[in-house]
Amino acid sequence: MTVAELKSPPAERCPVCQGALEPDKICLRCFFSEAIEAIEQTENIYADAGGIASAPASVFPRLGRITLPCDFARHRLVREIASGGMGIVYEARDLRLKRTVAIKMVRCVALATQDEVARFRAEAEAVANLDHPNIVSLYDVGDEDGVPYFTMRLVAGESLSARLQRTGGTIPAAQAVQLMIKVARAVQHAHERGILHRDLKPANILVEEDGEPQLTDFGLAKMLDSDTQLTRSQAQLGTPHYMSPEQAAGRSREITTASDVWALGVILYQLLTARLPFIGDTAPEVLRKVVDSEAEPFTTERHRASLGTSMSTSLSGKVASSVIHDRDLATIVARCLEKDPARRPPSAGYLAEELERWRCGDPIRLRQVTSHERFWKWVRRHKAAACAIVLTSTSMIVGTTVSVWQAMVAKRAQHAAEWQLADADAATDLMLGTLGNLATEYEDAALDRHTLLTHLLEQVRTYSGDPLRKVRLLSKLADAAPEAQAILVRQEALALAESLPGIDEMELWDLRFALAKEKAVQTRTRLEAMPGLKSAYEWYLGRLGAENPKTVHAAYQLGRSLNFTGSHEQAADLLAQALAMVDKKAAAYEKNATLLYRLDYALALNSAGRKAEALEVGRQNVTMALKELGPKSYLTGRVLLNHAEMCEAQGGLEEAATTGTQGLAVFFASASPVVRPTQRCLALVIRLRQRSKDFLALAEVLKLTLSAYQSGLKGDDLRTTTLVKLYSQTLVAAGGRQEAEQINLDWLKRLQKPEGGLRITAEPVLRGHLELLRKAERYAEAENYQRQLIALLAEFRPEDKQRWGDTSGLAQLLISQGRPGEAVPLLEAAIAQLEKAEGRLKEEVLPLAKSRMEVARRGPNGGR
Amino acid sequence: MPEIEQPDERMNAANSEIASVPAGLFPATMWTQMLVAGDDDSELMRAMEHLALGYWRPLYLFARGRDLSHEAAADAVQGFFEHLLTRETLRHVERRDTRFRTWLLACFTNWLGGVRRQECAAKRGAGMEIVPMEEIRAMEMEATTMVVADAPESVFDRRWARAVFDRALQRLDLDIAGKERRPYFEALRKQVFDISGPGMTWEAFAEQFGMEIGAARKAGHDLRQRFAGLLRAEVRCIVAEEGEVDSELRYLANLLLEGP
Repeated sequence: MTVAELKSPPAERCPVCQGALEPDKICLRCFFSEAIEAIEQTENIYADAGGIASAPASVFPRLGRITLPCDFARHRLVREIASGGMGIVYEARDLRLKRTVAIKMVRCVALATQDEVARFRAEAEAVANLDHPNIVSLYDVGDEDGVPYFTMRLVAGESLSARLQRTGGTIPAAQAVQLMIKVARAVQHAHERGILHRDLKPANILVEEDGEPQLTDFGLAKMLDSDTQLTRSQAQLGTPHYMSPEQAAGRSREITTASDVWALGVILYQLLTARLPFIGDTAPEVLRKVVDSEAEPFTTERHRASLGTSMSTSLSGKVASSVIHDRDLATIVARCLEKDPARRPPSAGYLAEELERWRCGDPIRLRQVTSHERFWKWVRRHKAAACAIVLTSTSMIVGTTVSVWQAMVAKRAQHAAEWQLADADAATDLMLGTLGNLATEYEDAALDRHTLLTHLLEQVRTYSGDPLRKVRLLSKLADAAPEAQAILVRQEALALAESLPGIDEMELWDLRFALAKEKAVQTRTRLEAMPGLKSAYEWYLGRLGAENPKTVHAAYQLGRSLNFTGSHEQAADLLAQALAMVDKKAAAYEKNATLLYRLDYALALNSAGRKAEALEVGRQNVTMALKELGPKSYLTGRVLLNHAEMCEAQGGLEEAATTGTQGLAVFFASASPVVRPTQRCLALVIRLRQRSKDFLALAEVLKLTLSAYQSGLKGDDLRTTTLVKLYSQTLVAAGGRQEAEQINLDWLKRLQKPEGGLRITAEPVLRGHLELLRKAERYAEAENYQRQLIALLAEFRPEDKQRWGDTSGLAQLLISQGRPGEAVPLLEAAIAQLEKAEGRLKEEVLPLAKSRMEVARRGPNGGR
Repeated sequence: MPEIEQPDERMNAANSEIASVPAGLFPATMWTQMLVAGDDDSELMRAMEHLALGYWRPLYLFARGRDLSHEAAADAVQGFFEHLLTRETLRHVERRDTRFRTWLLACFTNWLGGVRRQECAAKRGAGMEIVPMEEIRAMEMEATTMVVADAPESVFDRRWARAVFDRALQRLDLDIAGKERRPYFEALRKQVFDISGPGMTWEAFAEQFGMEIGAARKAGHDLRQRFAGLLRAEVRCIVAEEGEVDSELRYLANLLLEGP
C-alpha cells in the first residue's frame, strides 16, 4: 500500500489556534507561532498570575494564549465567547463606558499575514456600514499597538448551532421560516450595501433570548466593489457544508450574492430536516459533493428509505423529521441549492418574500424550472391578469438587462451583472416556454399570442445593450412565435448575428439551421428552406461528426423536408440513419425524438413506394407510443392519426378506421377537441365509417366526440350544434330514429333563450330535425320548426338570402299539407329575393322555388 | 522545602543555553555559509551530513507519496544521501534557493527521476548505511497510518515542520539531560509537551515540587519560551538570511492551519 492510497481521517484541530494537531496531540502551529515571538519577548516577564495579568498591551495579544481576566485597550476581557480560524471574540467590560460588550480581535497578530490583518480591518469596515435590527451592531473600532480590534453589542443568547444541538436538530417549520425570513432580510440589507457575507452558517447566527436572530461574523465579508479577490485557498475559507459550488470549486471570481443565497438554503434545509444536504467524512469529500452531487433529496416518499444511513452522520445525530413535507418549502430550498447561481432565487430579499408568502399561506412564486404546470393552470384561470403579468415581466427583463449592461460597461459589479443576465435568460425561458405550451395545446385560449409577441418584439428592438444578447433575445422570441412571424424574427436575429465580428460560429449555424427549419414547416417556404437545411446539415456533419445529436437532428429535418419536396428515397435513407442514431442513444435527444423520427420515416417510406415497410414502421410506432406515452398523450394521438391516414391511403380501411377512432379518443384526452389534428382525425373517421356504412360505429364515435365538445367548448358553440345534427342523422341511418328525435328535442330545449326564442347556434339542430320530420312526412310538425328557423334567420342574419331559400321550403311544406294558397305569396316573395342572390341560392334554390310556384298555382287539386 | 528557582535566573539560563549551542553543530545560518563557500571543507561536510540526516523523514514520506514502496523509498533515501554527501555534489549546490527545505526537496526530486539514482542503486549494497535501517523501518508504520490528503509536496512540507520541531525538542532534551535538577525539569517537560495522556494537573505538579501554583505555571511557561527560542534557532540554521527566519516560521505555522 502506498501513502497516497491511504484514506485520511479528519485531523483534529487545536482548540487554541485551529491548527491541525499531530497524532500525538502536539500543536506545531502554536509552537511555531511562539517561536516567531521568542527572541523579542524573552525580556518580558509576567506578573504573578494571581490577579489581573498586566502584560504590556504591545505583547499581550501577540501571543497565542492569554490568561483571563485581563485588560486590553480599556476593556477588561472576561470570557472567551467564540473563536474562528483567525479571530477570537471575548466578552468584555468597557471600563470607560461601563457596559458589557463583545470584543473581537485577531487571534495572534504575529502569525497573521498582512492580508489577514487587512481582512480583519475590512470586516470592521463592513459591519460599520450596516445598520439592521438583525445584524449585530458595531460599537467601536480601534487599534492598540498594531493589534486591530472592534467591539460589538453583546448578544444575550446562544448561536443557532448551539440551539440546534440542544434541541436535537430541528425547530418547527413555521419557526424556522420565521427565523430565516429575518436572516435573509439581514443578508439582503448587507448585499444592498455591497457586502457579501460568504460564511453564513448556524454558528454565525445568534439567537437572542426572545428568539430574535442576529447575524454576525462578517470575517470573510467582501465588498462587492473592491478589486481584491480571494485566493483559491481563501475562497475555501468558509465552512465546507455551507459552501456554494462556486466557492467549493475555488472559483473565487464567481462568488456573488447568489453564494450567500445558497448558504441560506443549506441552513433552511438543515433547520427543516436536521440533516445537512451534503454529507461526507472529510472536508474534501463534502466539497466534492457540493460541486458534483445533488443534495440529499427530501421531498418524496421513496427517498425515506434511503435516508437511514445518511441521517446517522448528521450534525446532531438525532433526527426529528427527515423529510420536508411541504412541497412549496421543498421547492424554495431546492431552488436555493441549484448548482447554477442563475437558477437560485435572484436575491436574499426575494427569498425572504417567498418565505413570507409561504408563512401567510399564499402561493409562492418560485417553481422548479422544469415544471410549468401550476403556473399555466393559474394562467388559464386568470387569462387577462396573466397577460398583463407577462407583459410587465417582459419589460422588466429587458429593462434590467439594459441597466445591467450599462453597469457592465462601467466595469462595476461585473459578476453580479453576468449573473443577472443569466437570470434574465432563465426568466425569459420560463415565460416563453409557458407561452409555447399554451399555444400548442390550448389554441382556443383567449391569450392573444400575436399581440404579446409583437409587444415583446418592440421592446427587444429598442434594446441597445450587448448585441449578442439582443441576438439571443430575438432568437428566443422566434422560438415562441407562430411560424410566419418566427421566420421574420429569426431572420432579424441572424442578420444581426452575421454583422457581429466575434460571434461564435456554432451560434451562427444554430441560427441558420433554426431559420431553415422554420421555413421548412411552412408549405409556402418549404422549397426555399432546402439549401439552408442542406448546408446546415453538412456543416454540423463536418464539424461535429455524424453521431452528434445536432447533426442527427439536422439530418431529420432535412430528410423530412426532402420527403415533402419529392425526394422520397433520399429522405427515407436520411431518416433511417437519423432514427438509428436516436434508437442508439435516446437520452441525448429531445424527449420522444424516437417517436417523431419514426413517424416521418414511415411517411417517407410510404411516399417512396415502400408500402409494406411503411406500414410495419407505422405499426411499430403505434405500439411504442402507446407503451411509452400511453393513451393520454398528444403525441400518441399524432402517431395514431398518421398511421391511420397512411392505412387509408394504402386501402387498409378497417385498420385506418380503428386506429383513427383510437387516435380520436387520445386527442380528446390530451388536447382541445377543435385543434387541427383532432379535427383531421374526426374527419377521417367520419369519412371511413360513412363509406363503409358502419353507422353504429360512427354513432359511437360521434357520441364520444359530442361529450368531448361539451366539456371542451361552450354549450352553444356552433361546432357542437353542427355535431349534434350529424350525430342525430347518423342515428337515423343506424336505425335509431326515436333516439335521434329525442336528442334533437333535448338540444332545442337547451338552446332556448331565457326570454324565449332560440339561439342562432340552434340552426344546425333545427335543420337536422326538419330533415328528420320531412322524411317521416310529419309536415305539420315540420312547418312549425320551419317557421322557427325563418324567424331565427330574420332575427340574426336579416341580410342573408338563405332565409328565402327556407321560405321556399316552408311553402313546400304548406303545399304538402294541401295549403297551396298560403304557399303562393311566400313563394312570390322568396323568388323576388332569390333573383338577387348569387351562387347556389340562385342556381339551385331559385329554380326549385319557381317549380314549386307552378305547383302551388295549380291549386290544391293539381298540387303535389 | 525545595528551593524555588527565581524566574530571572531561569530566564538568563535559557538565554545562555541558546547562545552556547556548539558552533560546529548549529552554526548560525549554516545554510548561508554553505551557499557562499561551497568548497570542500570537511567541517562543512560534517555539518551538512548532520543537517541532512535530521530531515530524512520528510524525504522518505515524500517518496512514499510518490508511490514508491517502502523498500524503494528506503533505498532512495539512502542512495540520495550517499550521493548528496560527495564533494562533487556540494560543489554544485545551486545558489538560487535560499531555504534548505526547498533546496533539499528539489535535489531529491531531481535525483529520484535522474540517472544517478540507477548508478547509485547499482553500486549499492557495498554502500554505507547513512540512515540507520531500523529507523527507516520504524517509519514504515507511520507512513501507513499517516494522514494524507494532498500532494506529496505538501506532505513533505508538513512532515518537515514536524522534523524541525523534533530536532528542537532533541536539543531541549539534551539541555535537560545536563541539568542538575534533572527530575524536576523532566517532569516539567512532560507537563508542557506531553499533552496526549491525562497528565497531572498543575496543582498536583506544584504540590509534588513544593511550589506555588502560580510559580509552577510560570515555570512551564518559561520552558515553553525556551523551547521557542530553540525552535527559532533551528529554523535559523536552515534559511539563508536572518530576515527569512520569521517568514519560514510563519509559512510552517500556516501550513498547519490548512491541515490535511
